[in-house]
Amino acid sequence: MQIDGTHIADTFAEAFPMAATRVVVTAESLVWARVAGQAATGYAASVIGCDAEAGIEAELAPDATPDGRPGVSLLLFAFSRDALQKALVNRVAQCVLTCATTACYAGLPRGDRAVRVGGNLRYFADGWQVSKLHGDRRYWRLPTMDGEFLCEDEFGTVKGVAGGNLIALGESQAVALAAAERAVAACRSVPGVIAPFPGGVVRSGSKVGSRYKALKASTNEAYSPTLRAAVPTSLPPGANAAYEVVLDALDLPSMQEAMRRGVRAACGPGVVEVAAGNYGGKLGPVLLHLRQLLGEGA
Amino acid sequence: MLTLTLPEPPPGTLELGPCTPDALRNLSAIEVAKLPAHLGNRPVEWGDFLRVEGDAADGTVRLIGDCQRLPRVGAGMASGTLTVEGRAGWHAGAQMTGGELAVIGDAGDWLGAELRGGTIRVTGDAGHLAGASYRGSRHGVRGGFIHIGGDAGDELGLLMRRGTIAVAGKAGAFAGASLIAGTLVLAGGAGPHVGAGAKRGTLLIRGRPTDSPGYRPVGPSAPAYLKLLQRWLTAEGFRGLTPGDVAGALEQWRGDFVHRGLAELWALPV
Repeated sequence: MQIDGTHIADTFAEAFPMAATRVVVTAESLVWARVAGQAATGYAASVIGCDAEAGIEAELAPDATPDGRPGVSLLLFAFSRDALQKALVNRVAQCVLTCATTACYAGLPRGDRAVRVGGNLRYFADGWQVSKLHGDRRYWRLPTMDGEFLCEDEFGTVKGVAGGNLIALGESQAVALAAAERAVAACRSVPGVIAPFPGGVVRSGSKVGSRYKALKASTNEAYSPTLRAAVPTSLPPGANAAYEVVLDALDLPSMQEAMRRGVRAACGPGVVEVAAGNYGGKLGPVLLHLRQLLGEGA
Repeated sequence: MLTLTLPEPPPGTLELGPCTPDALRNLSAIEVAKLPAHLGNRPVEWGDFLRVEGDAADGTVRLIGDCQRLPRVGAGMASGTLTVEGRAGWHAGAQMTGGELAVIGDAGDWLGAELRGGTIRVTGDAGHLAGASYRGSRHGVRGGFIHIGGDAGDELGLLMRRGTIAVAGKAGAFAGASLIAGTLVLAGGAGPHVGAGAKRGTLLIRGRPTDSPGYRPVGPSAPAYLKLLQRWLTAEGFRGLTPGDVAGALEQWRGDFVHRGLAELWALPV
């Protein structure tokens, strides 16, 4: 299968479930909302080494936020709801509460799988916290040096989908990176999807395990162009650099649509192949076959 | 839907007993018409005064007519929707725990007294003591939402403990008196002694408070919460607050310092 001269590998990504939530952060200006969003989703590339995977989903116009101020929506993913709550509370406490003029709201319905955020952070107010109930949504107001921090009590969670990915293999580093950038932009155009790595792009695709016992993951030498002559390679002829785009999504249809758009966007001149990383089908319950996503055999 | 039509006001106070979707849900129209009532001290039946049609199996009841002499309509309601198309009498929606009472018209005194949950919407004016505590009781509104489209009488939200009361028109004297907590929005202003004796809670009033000596100025502030509140109230159909009202910093006071002084009062722009 070829798109714009790029070969689509007959392979798949493996989707697996993760606890997920959406957080809406607002501020007096989009600049400060972005600052809070970037800080709160920092160091959250992979649960291999971070407490959560997180990213900015979208920037929100004032009429799309609960308090009518500009904002950003964030998505966070973790292995369990308990882990998600812990990561969320810590991140909101350190990166949103501390950030000038911000407020923080749940971006998903509370349902029966909520995690408590404002209800934990309220103790920072040392007794001066104020609770407000609007319908069935509770908010906490915490006095701060610039006024007050407003945070919703509970945040809804869903069983999200992780493990989506694609690998763009190019004739050169520049071509592969441009392809990855196009793919990231296309994937991020789907609501409910983030690419949590820096810029959405991974240059250090990993394999499970290592020759060093302490490591859970190590470099995937099969995709390393500089080791091509030394190890069995997964790089097709003509490919001299590869970048991976890793995706998390709130649901499977969003993940499928993001991968579909991402793969199509990655294709183009100089992009030898678009592939995907997997663990032989042993990791995830849902396999995302690239060619099926793009229509062949669907 | 159960429709109860009052062709003309009764000659005296007509005590219907429980008049809520919960109480009427499993009754046929004939059974509803035979429910006991009292006109003054004289035993009567609902059907003597009301035309009854349909049933309340879906939890919806319409009461049509001038019901000013029908006290306690919707009192104690826990679920469903009750719409009064006309004036409502005293104690309408008192001690409700859930559901929605809509009054398309004015309501009498003690509207939503000691409300615990649910929503009350009145398009017109409300009498005195809306959302208040009954005499000897420690708490007024303890949850839920009262939305008054017109004016409200005196002692609105007396001893309110939780919940929200929003008045698009003007409130009378002693609005939010002895407030314990909760939110009171008086978008058309208020009479004297607003928030007198309040311990905690939030008051938004149009214009500067008068005759509230126990309050001290804080200065201008613009918490995001006020914007959130404005948007929520607007989404609930309240038209008294506009985005412009909370766009900038508002003058804030703290009081009442005859008590804990933890109530907050903001003056909306006139």
